[in-house]
Amino acid sequence: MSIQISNVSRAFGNHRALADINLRIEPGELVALLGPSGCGKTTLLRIIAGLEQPDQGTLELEGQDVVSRHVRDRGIGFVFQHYALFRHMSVFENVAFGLRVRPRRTRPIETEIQRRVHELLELVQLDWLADRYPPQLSGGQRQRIALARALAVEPRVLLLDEPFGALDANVRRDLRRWLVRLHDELHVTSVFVTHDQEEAMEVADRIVVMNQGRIEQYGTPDEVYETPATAFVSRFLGDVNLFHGRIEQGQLHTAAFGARATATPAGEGASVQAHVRPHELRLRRDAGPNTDLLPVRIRRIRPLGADVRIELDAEGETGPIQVVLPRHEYRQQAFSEGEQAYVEPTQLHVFDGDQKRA
Amino acid sequence: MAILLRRGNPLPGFVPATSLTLIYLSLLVLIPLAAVVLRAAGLSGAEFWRVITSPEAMASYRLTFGAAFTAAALNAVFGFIVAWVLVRYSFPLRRVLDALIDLPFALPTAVAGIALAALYGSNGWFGKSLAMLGIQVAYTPVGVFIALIFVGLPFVVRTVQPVIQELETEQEEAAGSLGGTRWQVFRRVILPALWPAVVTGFTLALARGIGEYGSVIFIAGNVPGVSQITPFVIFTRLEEFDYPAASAIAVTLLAISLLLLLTINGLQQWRARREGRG
Repeated sequence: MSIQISNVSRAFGNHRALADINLRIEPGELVALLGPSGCGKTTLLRIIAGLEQPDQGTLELEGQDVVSRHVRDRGIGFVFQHYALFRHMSVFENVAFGLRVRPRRTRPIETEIQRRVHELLELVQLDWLADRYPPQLSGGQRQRIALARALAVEPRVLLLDEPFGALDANVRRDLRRWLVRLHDELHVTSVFVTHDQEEAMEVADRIVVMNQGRIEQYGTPDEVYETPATAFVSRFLGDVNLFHGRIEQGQLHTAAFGARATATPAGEGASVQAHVRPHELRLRRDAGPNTDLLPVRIRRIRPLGADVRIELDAEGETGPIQVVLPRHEYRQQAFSEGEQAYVEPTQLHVFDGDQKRA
Repeated sequence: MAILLRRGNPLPGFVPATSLTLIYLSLLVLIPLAAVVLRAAGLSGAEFWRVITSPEAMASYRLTFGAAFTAAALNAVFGFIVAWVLVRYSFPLRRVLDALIDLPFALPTAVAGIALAALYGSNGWFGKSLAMLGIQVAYTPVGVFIALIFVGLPFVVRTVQPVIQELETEQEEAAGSLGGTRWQVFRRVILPALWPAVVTGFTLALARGIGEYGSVIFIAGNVPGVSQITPFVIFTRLEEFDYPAASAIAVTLLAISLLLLLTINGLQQWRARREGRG
């Protein structure tokens, strides 16, 4: 089912949680609302669910305006960060809840409820826990039960609020891969909230990057990473090295790298900031004929699994510069701490210099 | 104990703490109760039976337990509502109202009794209006009932209130998103979560109601066989220097109360076990 959000705003007292949000989510998509805490992503999710009302704007599910419709009549399934399982009910009864509270006309008979609940528990691979109570389960198990419970009402939209936020790193990783497989199987339109960019990249078909109540960018994980629309998106999606510069004669001038041709929306004479991701810097021992390389000294080398992170000091730059090399490349070159070297950017993302810092 | 110590019990002080608890409880509770039972034991079986089943005593049991039970039940309902409103809604003077709940705890019961008698007496504000409707409160069981509602309310409110505060609104939201109506959410999600606290509050209010004396006697008028509560019957036996009879009735009161409390506790535990929380 498609979700169409138009001109939605919401304020809490003086705080503008959402400012004029427009967003369309296509049927069957798995979309992440990504942003730092307080950016309005949870408020937006709760407005879609009907747990919160917008001050302005409209919300359409499959072309129908649902703003005035109660949460129970929207056909959504909601999964909470802290599971919100009913503690006094067994796992089976938790999952059966949505079926048992139906009006008598549409309520399935007991044997049908039994069948459906066990089917869902098998789907989340926890059928053997049917008679347990929520306090007896681990966090990962609880979240899977919460998901089964939300799916029991056959929602047209599945909404998940930081579904893995309260879990250990390992459980988190397993569970989000499992969620992707589940979504491939069920193909229910799903929206989940997260502040973890890695999680959004791994799970979502498309990512909505939010900041201070606004949408900064909406695109596939590749788009938002490769062509960030704003300096905020660029910074939020991963580490960047920041260089200040100016546009002169259509070229980017920075103290570090001299003049370089670049695509930029900024006008002539504008002061800009150039972002270079750690893996977009090439580290080499000798400058060769090039004169626009930045001489650096290697301060620290940190192996991080498949990659090696190298911290560099450069004259005239405020902070250390970060470079990430694949481990095999690092081995070939055999850099060592304290050594002199040069860096060259393979790619630069240029943004207006007066844009707010993230 | 030695085993516990050898194992290196992470909670130190098992021996002194337990000894202190036992001595304290014995001095304050067990020994006085034993004295009452011993006093009553001065009577022969037949005498004992005659004293505790006298028409006057029987009427007082019915009144005491009947009024305490209905008052506690009413308090359970309204105390629940009061606690809910105090936690979930904000309105002017909420804090003041919240503080007022404790007043029946703090007020000397005799003061409360006199105030109630003045209000509900045939010339009191409420008493006059009710009398016109043909309802007599003072000097009847209804008066006893009203006094017990007054003293019992804070027990329910103060036991239920913290549990409502702990209740996650997310559970209600989850139930709503699954299609539950307001009533279904209340009946299937909120009430089961609060039920143990409500029962505890009810039990406390009941226990207080059974033992209540000061606030009741002024409004009850203590008409023998009509509006005499059991504690008052005991008191009159004491005034007549009939200590064995007073003790016998006291022991009976004690036995019934104990039985009631044990039954309620047992039911609670059975419920908890049935739901896998035992």
